[in-house]
Amino acid sequence: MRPQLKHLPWLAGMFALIVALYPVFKSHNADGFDMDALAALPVQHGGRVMPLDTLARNQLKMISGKTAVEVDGKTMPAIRWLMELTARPEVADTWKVFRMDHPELLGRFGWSHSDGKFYSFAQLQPHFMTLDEETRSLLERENRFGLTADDRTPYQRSLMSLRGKLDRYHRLSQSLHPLGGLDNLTQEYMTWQMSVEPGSAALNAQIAGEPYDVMAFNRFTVLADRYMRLQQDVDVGLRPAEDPERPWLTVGELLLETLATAQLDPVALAHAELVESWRRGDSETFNASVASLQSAVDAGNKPVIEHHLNVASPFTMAMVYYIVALVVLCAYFIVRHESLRTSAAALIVAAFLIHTVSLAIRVYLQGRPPVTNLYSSAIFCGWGAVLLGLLFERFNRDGFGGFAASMVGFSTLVIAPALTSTSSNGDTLEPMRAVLASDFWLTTHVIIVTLGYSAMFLAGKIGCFYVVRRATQRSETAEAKRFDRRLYGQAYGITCFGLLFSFIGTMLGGIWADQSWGRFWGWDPKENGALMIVLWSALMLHARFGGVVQLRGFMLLAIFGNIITAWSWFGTNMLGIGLHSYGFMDQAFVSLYLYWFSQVGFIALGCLPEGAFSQLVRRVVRPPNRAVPPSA
Amino acid sequence: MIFNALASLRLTVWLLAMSLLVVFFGTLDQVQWGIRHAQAIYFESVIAWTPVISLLELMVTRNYGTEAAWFKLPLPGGYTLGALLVVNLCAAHFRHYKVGWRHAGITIIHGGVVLLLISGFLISALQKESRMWITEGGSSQYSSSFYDNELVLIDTSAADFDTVYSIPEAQLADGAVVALPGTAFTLHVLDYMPNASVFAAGDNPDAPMTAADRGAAARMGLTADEQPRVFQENRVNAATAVVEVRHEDAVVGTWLVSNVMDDGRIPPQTFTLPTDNGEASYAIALRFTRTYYPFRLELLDFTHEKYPGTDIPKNFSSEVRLVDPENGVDRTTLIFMNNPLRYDGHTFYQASFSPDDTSSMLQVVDNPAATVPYVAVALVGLGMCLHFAMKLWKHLGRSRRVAIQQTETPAAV
Repeated sequence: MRPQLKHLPWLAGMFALIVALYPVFKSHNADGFDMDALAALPVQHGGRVMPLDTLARNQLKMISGKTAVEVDGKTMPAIRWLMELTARPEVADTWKVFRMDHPELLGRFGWSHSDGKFYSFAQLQPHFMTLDEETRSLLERENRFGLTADDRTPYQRSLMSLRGKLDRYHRLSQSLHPLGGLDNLTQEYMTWQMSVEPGSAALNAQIAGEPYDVMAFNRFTVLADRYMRLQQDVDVGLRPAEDPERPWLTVGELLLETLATAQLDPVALAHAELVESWRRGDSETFNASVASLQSAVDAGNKPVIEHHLNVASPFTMAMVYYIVALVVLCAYFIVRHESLRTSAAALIVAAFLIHTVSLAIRVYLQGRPPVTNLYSSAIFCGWGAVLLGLLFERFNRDGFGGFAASMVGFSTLVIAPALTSTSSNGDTLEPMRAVLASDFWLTTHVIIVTLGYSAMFLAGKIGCFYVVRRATQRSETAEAKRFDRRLYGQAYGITCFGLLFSFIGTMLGGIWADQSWGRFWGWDPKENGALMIVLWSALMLHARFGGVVQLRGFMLLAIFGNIITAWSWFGTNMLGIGLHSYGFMDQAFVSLYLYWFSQVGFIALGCLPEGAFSQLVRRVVRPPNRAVPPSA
Repeated sequence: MIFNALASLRLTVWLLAMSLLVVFFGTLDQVQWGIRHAQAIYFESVIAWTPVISLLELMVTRNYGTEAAWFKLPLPGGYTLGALLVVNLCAAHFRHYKVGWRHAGITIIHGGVVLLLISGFLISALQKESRMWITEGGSSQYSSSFYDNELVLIDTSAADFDTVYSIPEAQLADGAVVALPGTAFTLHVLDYMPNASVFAAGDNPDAPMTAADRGAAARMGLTADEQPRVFQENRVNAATAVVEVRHEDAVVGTWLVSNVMDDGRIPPQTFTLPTDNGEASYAIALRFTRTYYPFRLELLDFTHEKYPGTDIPKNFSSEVRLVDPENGVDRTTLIFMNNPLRYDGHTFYQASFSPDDTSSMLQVVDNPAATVPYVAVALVGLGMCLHFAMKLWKHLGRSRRVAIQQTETPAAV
């Protein structure tokens, strides 16, 4: 008799949850510096208030594609990078954060792929002249011939992208205070405060053509000029303005405020102390400055919560659990031990809980329905599919709802980060554009369409599962045949659900468009994509009803449905046309093709004779034994 | 036999597959042609000539392959597919029709789909869209077409009204002669360019000569160079013509007119002719076709909110005053995203605004068939819910029976 491990699923689920929660309660302080409090400080960027941590992560992601930096084998979190970048640029400049892939671009600087993908600011510095000349001549050329960014070659695109990253890096490095003289920042600010009165007097006198104090005049104009330039360059708001409707004030604006008030702004001053204490390694003063910033800039609990969400990176955890569950389920299909299936189910439930809570937190942070951009549509699509799959698992208890759930959950969470739009500064909680900012329609149309995607993917995954099963074993027994019929029934049911949701969701989109600008259907790429899903699921149901396909044919159609759903979900956004276009995303295009390729592979597998794969394996593993005598 | 073929589900599957292909290629070709022109080629056509190879090249390399563009596969266009789908659906229902509740859902769904397809035809034939620009403090009582142009001669002699003689773009061609009914005018189109670049020739020796000897062309040295037509969403075809005006067979003069000259930067091109009692004044222009309304809209205030510290629009709205003297209407209303003004069979949507936030563009839509898709969608949605709910109910009933049988079997053995 097999041992029944009754409590294993419970233990697995609880363990998964505890591991996922651990980072939230863990302290990330380095050498007594309160990095957690620093990371949670609110700033305003890209039209919304966010913790400093989010700013650091998004910017680092735009530059390096990752949210942490590898330094001498140690992983530095984004906030640490931001602190070094602003306070000790001489250190941060040696960290390899600039990602470059294009071999020609690398070759331009005398490097090759063997030197790695990441380069530091210091490494790039000697090449600034070349870079500058090349980008300028490219832009001039484009201007002259009326070319746009779309006409660029891959090399030119990576060149401009590097240029953009360098600008971003430079802008960010002075977003908390001006560059240069970082050890004496407070002193500089004091000088500024003291020079304002005599300086403006001298300036007025100079304008009036009267004799004036040259020293005071020079000191004043040099600093005023410096802060005015800073004001133009920097786009990170550090403190709310008096008028809540106005944008937060940047460090340049805070310093220029002294012109009117003759006082130094405490927030700017605290940031200066932050820098100095960080440079001195004085954690006590550092923590005190952070605390004073915390009390000076109050933006409610949202930045703190968002910081916790960042640290916990729950979607990554959920992704890991989905894939572990997938592996456990595969083991279950081989050894058929019930506790494996229940443990996998428990893991999926744990992952689903994490998924749900994080989704809810995102809704709270943004104050909008769950789907506001492509990134969040992936998160939500996965969520819907997992929910459906878990329901199937609950009723059928055959491991297969769980299999499909964890597969879609995993793949949607993998693809989500690649769908972050480049125009949004890497922010996944970016504010909504006016055209789309209607909570009612976002809730109904977008959610229903996304659930339609979930259903189509789920049906497709059932198809994949079926062809794998079919290629590895023959369904000779009655039980196996019954199992196949059940799969067929489920795929059919989910396709019905998919048709219903994608049709209603698409048509709600039509109604939204009609309400917004009087055009029910505009043949926009995204609309066409949604229409393709509707057409395809209708085709599947009619083909089945008309006897054009049987079990296997239906399953293959379901797999092809994955290709269509992926296309309409984010392929259509990449064409750069129409209302739903978010700019071209190379990375997402590669993912799309890889995904298509894998699905074509599944379809090919489904075209092989039944049991072909296992026969092949058997032949390879156990070649016919020639040593056996012919007539034993 | 033919009826059976028309009613067959195989045909349905084939039509759906074809629709899928056409939608897919039609979407891809938008990269080349823009949404509107691709729509005409693929979705509002009988046969869609599809440059399959070029489009697949576009998928792989991001560039439309021009070398293989000559190869075009004839796919059934949107009109063909739509008509065949309607026929197939109706025929199938006649052939397989069975009375009873069991099929109520399917019947409702298919009724809705037919209605939806019909609404597609209706809207494609009946819907008109145009735009109305209003500057803050100003008012407007006409809207302009997005694409169509008209050549107009306007008699501005009367103090309180203008008489507009309009010639649609379709009648314009090199050498066309148009007599204006009720007047002694004939317009001779010397040169018509569907798209052109209009510029000041200056000292450029390569600039084409123009025959225009009156108006802005003569005064500012403007000339026009014909360009290929463009189809992309954000590009405009600068329709341009060189027109000789004759009055009682005497040549009055030759004007260069273009829709790019009609945006207010260049003053109206006018001329006068002596009459028995003084003189008559006229204006000539080539402009986006205008539709005049018996009422006017005044823009009181345009508001454009952005998210703090960014250029991302948060909301924009136009506060307008609607004045209709004939019907005694004079009211103020706010038009903003998702909240249009509906009046007299026209709907005014907030669509765009000028970069300096002082003028607002309203999209004006006339669509007599606007409610049809709503009814169709409601029908299909209702039918699907009914049908799938009944299926599910049946399925659950069956699995319950199976479960009962399974529990009974061991006892029997």
